[in-house]
Formats: sequence, structure tokens, C-alpha cells
Amino acid sequence: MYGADYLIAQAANGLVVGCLYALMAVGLTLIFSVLKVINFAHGEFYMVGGYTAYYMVTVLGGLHPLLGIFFAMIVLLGLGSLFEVAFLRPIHLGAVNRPAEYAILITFGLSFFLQNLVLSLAGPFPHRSPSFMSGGLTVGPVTISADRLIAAGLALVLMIALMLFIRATWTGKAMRAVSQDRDAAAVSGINPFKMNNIAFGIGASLAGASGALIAPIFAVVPDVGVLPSLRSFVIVVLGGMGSVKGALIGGVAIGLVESLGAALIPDPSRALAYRELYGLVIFVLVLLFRPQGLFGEKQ
Amino acid sequence: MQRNILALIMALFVFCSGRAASEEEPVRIGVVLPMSPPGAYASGNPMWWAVQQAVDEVNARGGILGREVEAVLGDTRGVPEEARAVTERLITRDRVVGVVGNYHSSCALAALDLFRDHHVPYIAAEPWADDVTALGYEEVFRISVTNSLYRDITVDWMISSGFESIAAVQEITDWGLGVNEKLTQAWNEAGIRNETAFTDVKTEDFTGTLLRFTQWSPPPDMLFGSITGPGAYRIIKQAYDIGLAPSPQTVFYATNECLHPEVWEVAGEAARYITVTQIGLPPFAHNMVTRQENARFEQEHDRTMNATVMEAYDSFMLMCEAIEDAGCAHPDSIIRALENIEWKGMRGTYTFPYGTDNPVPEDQPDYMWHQWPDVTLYLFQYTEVGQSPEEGTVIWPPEWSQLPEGQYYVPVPE
Repeated sequence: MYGADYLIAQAANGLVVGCLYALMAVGLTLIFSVLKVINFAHGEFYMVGGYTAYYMVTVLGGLHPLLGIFFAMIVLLGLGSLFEVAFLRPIHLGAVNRPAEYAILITFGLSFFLQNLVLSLAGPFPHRSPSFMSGGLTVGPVTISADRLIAAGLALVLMIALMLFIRATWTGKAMRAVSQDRDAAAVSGINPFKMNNIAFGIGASLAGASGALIAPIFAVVPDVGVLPSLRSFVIVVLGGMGSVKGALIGGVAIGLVESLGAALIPDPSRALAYRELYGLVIFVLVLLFRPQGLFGEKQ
Repeated sequence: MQRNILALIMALFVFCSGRAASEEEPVRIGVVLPMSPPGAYASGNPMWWAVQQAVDEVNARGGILGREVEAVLGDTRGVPEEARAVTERLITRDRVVGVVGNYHSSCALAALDLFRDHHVPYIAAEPWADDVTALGYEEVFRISVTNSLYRDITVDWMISSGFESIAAVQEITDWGLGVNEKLTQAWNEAGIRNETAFTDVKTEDFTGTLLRFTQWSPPPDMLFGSITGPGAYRIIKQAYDIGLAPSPQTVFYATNECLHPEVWEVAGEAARYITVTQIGLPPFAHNMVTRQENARFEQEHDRTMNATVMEAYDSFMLMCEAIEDAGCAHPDSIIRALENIEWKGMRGTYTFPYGTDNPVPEDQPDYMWHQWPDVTLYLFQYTEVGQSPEEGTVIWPPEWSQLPEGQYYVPVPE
């Protein structure tokens, strides 16, 4: 039987990792809520963010790893905006016959393209950004590395900043209006194309920040985004499609469930193997009893 | 009449030029490796670089059978279905005369019957599953270690080291499950307490499971982190960060993924004192070929060849040698030549004593069929940050150990 100290340590780990999951999912849900497009390249934006931070910090030697995150966000903001203009705008201009299928294929295509491009440019070997700070924090039974704590803290700050931006600024309100009713928003003088572009750029930027935050913890490789991307889809549906608050709470919940599941399942040989399954069980239960997700609205 | 003579001359010209073209056609050898995700592409890519080095050398000395050699790459992506598809493509479309390579056992096993059905010789470079050669296919040879050989050597070390408890994190792949089955059986027979946590090879965070192992009292004597890909480095760092291993109480045994220099970039200080397996000869037993090829590889790629990379080089060169010995590219002749070969490569002198004329004796395991019997492996420990595998301290087997007699690993200082 495990003691309380052990459970507290596991819960703390789940909480920290959950904040990182949430940041990535928040970007995905923002894109969906405004553009009504599921971005299958979100994991690759995460990966590109990790690599950008790595190269910014190591190639431009002397740059603090925290600045690497800033650069990653800027690069992904630009990349996301460009991609939206070039490939997703035709959907909203009515230039595509089957928009849903087109959106799936074009984002999948981008995902494969980015993975293979980075593999050719950066090589097959993993890279890890220098630590944000060495050492760790020990509180009672819990020891967490400084990198993880800083990453989780920054993820929370970015998510809160996004929520404030959406609630308190004109652009944020305009994005919400477009997400609720594009036509009504356009009639009110909001340019929905501009909002699409901003939302996709910010969503990609948050994925990039998420990748840059994990670069000193898990290291980056060309396919590092595959698993987090799948997890983000679960979080988004769990929290409610399009709900930023839902993605935040969903992310933390999945982090906790995965961590405590791996800790408490009696059979140690399966506890870690089924790690992704714990989140999926919650996901299925939510779909059964609350199909709109924890904070989503009924259609 | 004149018109007929002209037609005859033209026909002869076309025939001769056709013959010349066919004579000049390169000898194509298929190379199957994981070059892109989700497979072990960090191993597949340097293996391919080594094959290209071999191609350059063979062609620089005039090719084989007077023809150029061409390596035709098939990217398996580490996915068995894709491995089967690319192997079939190499055999039926590219008309390769032989195939070498593979990193993942699952990929080799998925395509094995194609070599048999199309009667194409294949040299397995890195797959460890016993069945690769135990199935006894006439066309299949192996120069790598097998799961059983790996178990025999490593478990001997674990027993000699006096380990009484082992915590293992094992990836769920054909290789991982195969190794785990053999190891747990051996650990149980030796009376070693053991517990294995299986995990997906893409897992990023092992902390939950590692925290579980910290609850053992006394702590485990060894943590066996049997993960390939970047997870191999992550688990070292995470185990170190929570104080589990490597530590004065617990030895960390890592996979040969940690032969890559990136182990230092990702795991840093945490990788000091980890134990790693190298499938091949220790540096002091390297021959001229090893040193020469390694120097060339290092000059071009800024890293030395590890065991898997050497296997790729040797398997390709071995196929070329066999074709040259056979005097033609007919599969029967190549297989015959391989069965009789004695060729010195980077990892020793290759022979395949058990084959058509000399079946595997009853007292030998089935996997010895077309298996290079002298395949060796040794264990070493990194004792300083940034060391290369060659600079590590060899700890096993005893005849190569650089430790005082009776000592089997370098303990982490208190």
C-alpha cells in the first residue's frame, strides 16, 4: 500500500505535466472555435516550436532559454498566419468544394511535410535545449525539477493571458463573435478573415510555446509532436470543443488522471503501458454522459 | 540485297549495344532501414550513411563483377507492413540481387517469407529476434546478436554483480517483448526479484512509474531502462532527477541507443555511470578495418560508428564479397558463397558454419542457422561526462574487463 507522500508526489507531477498538455490543447481549441477547422498539424507546430527554441538558444549562443520561447512563439505566429492565408482562406472564401475534407487533407499534408522537412534539415538525432534553471524544488515529499516548474508556471501565465485577451480586448471579443456566428459578426463590421488569421496564428504560436517549454525537459525529435497532438484532441473534446477554459481544465485533468493511473493501477507491468488509456476512458465517459464536453455548448 | 545487309548490320548493332548496356548495368543491392518516423530513424540514418561509405569504397576499387554497385534504399519507417511493402518493391520492381539491413525485428520478420518465396539472399544487420534465423530459411543470414545470446551474456553479468532486485521499464515492441520474456525467465531462475513496467516506445514522461520504484525498500539494485529512440535518454534523466538511478544504490542499465553522443546533450550529467551494451569488439580489440572505416566515417559525419552502424557497413560489404566470390548474381551462387565465406569486416571475421551442408547440430539452438557464431557484445560504463563509447570503462565479459578482478561495475560515489 502506498503512503500519502507517494500520492502527493504523483499528483504534483501530474499537475505540472497537465499544465503543459493544456497549453497545447488551448491553441487547438482556439483554432477550432474560430475557423471550425481541426488542425492535424498542431503536433508539428509544437515540434517546430521546440526546434526553434533549441536553435535560437544554441546557435545564437548566450541567449537565455526563456528568450527561446519568445522567438518560437514569434516564428510560429508567422508560420501559422502564412499557412492560414495560403491554404485555409479558400475554405472561407467558398473556393473549395468539399471544405471539411480539404481542411483535413491540407493540415495532414502540412503535418507530414513539416516532419520530413525538419528530419532533413535538423537530422535524425534528438536535441535538448539548455535548462531554464538547474536544480529543483523539494517541498515535503515532492521533488520537482526547476525546468518542469518553470515550464508549468509559464504555461499557466500564457493561458491566463490568452483568456484575458479573449475577454477584455476588442480583437478577443471579435474572435468570440466570429466563433459564434461568422455572418452576424461580419454584418457588425468585424472582418472574419482577419480574425481567422489571428486565431490560427495565436493557436500555432501557443503550440510553439508548448514545444519550446518541453525542449529542455523531454528533448525534441521530428516526431515529438505525434503523441501530444493526439492527447490534445482528447483534451479538447473533454473540455468542450472551442472552450479555452475547458481545454485548460481538461489538460490538467488528463495530466492528473494519467499520473495517478500509472501510480495506482495494481499491476505495475500494465500501469505505464495503459497511460494513454486512462485519459481515453474519461474521454469516452464524457462523450457518453455529456457529449458537448465539460464546458462546451449544446449544438 | 544491300538493304538486307544493312538491316543485319543494324540488328547486330542493336544487339551488341543492348548487351553492352546490360553489362554496364549496376549490381543492385537492396537496403531496408527505418529512415523516418515512427521507426528508429536516429539509428537508421547513420546506418544508411555507412552503407553509402561501403558503396563508395566498392566502386572506387572497380565495383563487383566489373560492374558498379548501387544500394537501393527502402524506408521501412519501422512499420512491419511498410517493411514488407518496400521489400517486395525492391525485389520485384528494382530487381535487387540481395537485400541487407533492418533495425527492427518486427520489420525483418514481416518480410522474411518474401526472401524465401522470391529466393533472394538477405543479411539481417540488426534484428535480434531469435526467429529471424531460427525459422531456417535458406536465403536468410544474420550478423547481429540474438535475444537469447544477449540474455545469456547480460544475465551472467547481473548474477556476477550480485543483483538481488531489478526494476525494468520495457518498451512494447517485438524486440522489447522478446527480450523481456527471456530476461524475466532468466531473472526468475536466478532468484532475482524483478518487476517490469511496459511502456509505449513514444512515452515522454516515465516519472510516475519511476516514482513507483522509489517506494521499494531497499531500493532496486538495478534499473533496466529498455527503451529505444529518444525515450532511452529521457528515462535516464528522469530517473536521475528523482534520485533513483544511477545512484550509489542502483545501477542504471541503458539500451545501446545510448551509444549515440546525443545521450550527453539530452541526459547530461545523468548519463554518467550508466551501463551500456555494445554489440562488437571493445576498442582495444579493433582491427585495421574498424579503425580505418571509423576514421573515415568520423571525418565525414563528425561521429564514430557504433555497433549498429558497423553492422550496416559489414552486412553490405559481406553481400558484395559474396557476389564477387559467387562470380555471378544468381541467388543460389550467392547463398552458396555466403555459406562458405570467410571475410574480415569491422566487427571480426564473418563465417556461417551452419547451413545447407552442415545443419545445426541438436546441441545447438535453432537460431544458429546461418548465424554468425562469433558475434560478441560487451558492457561498458561511461565514467565521465561527454565520453565516447570507446572511452568508457569495459566491465564485462571478464576477459575484456578493465576493472580489478571481482569488481563488475563502477559504483556511483556516495
